[in-house]
Amino acid sequence: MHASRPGKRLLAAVVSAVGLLFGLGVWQIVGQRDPVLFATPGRSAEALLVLTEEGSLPSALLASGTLLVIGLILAIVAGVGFGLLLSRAKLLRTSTDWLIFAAQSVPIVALAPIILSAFGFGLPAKSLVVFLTAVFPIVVNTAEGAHRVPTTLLEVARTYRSSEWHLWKDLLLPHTVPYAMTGIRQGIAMAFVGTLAAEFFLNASGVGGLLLAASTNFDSATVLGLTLLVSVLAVGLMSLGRAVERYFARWRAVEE
Amino acid sequence: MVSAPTRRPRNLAGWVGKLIVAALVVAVWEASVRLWLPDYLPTPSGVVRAAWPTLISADFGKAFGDTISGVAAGLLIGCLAGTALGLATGRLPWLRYLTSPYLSGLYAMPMLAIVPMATIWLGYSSQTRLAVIALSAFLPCAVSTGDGARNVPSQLRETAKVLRLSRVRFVLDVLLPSTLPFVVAGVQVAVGRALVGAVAVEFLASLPGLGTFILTNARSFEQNTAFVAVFVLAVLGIAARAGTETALHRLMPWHLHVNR
Repeated sequence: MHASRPGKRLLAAVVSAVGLLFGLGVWQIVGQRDPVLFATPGRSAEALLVLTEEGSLPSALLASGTLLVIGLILAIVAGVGFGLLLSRAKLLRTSTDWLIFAAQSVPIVALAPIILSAFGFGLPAKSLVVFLTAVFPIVVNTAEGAHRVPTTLLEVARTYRSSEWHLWKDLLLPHTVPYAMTGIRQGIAMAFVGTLAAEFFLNASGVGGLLLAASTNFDSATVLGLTLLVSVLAVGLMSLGRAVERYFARWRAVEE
Repeated sequence: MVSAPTRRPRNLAGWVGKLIVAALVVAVWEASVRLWLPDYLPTPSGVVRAAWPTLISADFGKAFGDTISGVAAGLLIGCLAGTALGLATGRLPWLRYLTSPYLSGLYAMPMLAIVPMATIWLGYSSQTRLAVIALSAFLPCAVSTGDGARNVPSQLRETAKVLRLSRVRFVLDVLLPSTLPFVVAGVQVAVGRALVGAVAVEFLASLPGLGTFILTNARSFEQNTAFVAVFVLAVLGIAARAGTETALHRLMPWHLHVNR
């Protein structure tokens, strides 16, 4: 089975490429038939090129990236910190589990108009939106992982009168990191959703702002190009998250 | 870790803790709006006062009906089509390779980003909402079901082969039952995404519905009323999650957890 693996992978790549080419062909034909609602791939690429040359696309990417990174870092710090805390403080966990569950169920997008009027549309308010969308998977996964520290190890640590500091440094943290990374992987994807939501609904800036502007101008070439760009960025972010998760997965203890 | 006799007091402590946290959240929220934030913002007391009048108001009823009917129709279309495609891609490798660039590209992408394109193609109409909801539901269903259908346990596959099951019997007796947890997991994600998708379309295309209800009330300083609608959306999400969870336990008591 393993011998046929590279061949199989090549076949998969070829078929996928054929699928993409087919899609591109359809896009070209539809774009020529209906140049108002659609645009050909060439015109979309051209539109993105124009945006790049006039500098609005690079600066939009930078703005969106900054927003995403700020929100994500806040979410990681708060999420992992609170998740670890929950693992050691049983009372805190039983007292707040319902709150996390409830807060997780609130659609943050729907909260955007209220956040707008409470905190305005500056960077802090937008970072809050990104933070809120990204933080919950991180808390939940971290707490879950920390909760699963093998009891045997905890008891051994206690038998040897390990200090709280050593317990964290040598047992809790190394055990929890892979789980936290699963949360962070999901958090990255969510943070991107939050970034777009903040740019759509608080103030039109970044890539989301460009998309909105092009859409109100009925500029289908630019909208198509930017939508595809967002998709490519999303896939990139997702693979980044997967890579980080996989890197730390080898810390995962073999579980029974 | 906890010895059995201390269990009861601990439970009690847990409940007291929950109550204290709840009281703390309400107090901090109420106080921060009264003391520092603009006073038109929602407060717990204001939301409670606004809750009943909002829920029985005709505006809310209409908005709720618009959004829910859109979400229900979109979920039905999206989940059926997604599950069907997932089953097909799980069993037919060539179809999986052919569709994977599209499925993974769209699945990774926030559905918000599709709304501007959808408004150009379909106009500022409820068709746009239906399309976005259906697509938001379609993708998680297709991906999750595809994963499940591809990973039918090899013992089952081998047993089916040994028993020379026909294709139809294989699909009905092996493929569907072993994929069902993944189908339900897909639907579970789909419901959440569909609700968010509906609200986002309503915001951007100003279609009548809960999203617009939230937006207009938030803009006219009726934030408590707006918050009631956000709360209703959250409850819908929880209810759908609980419903699918129950379905999972009922249909497949042996299968307690599916990791996405």
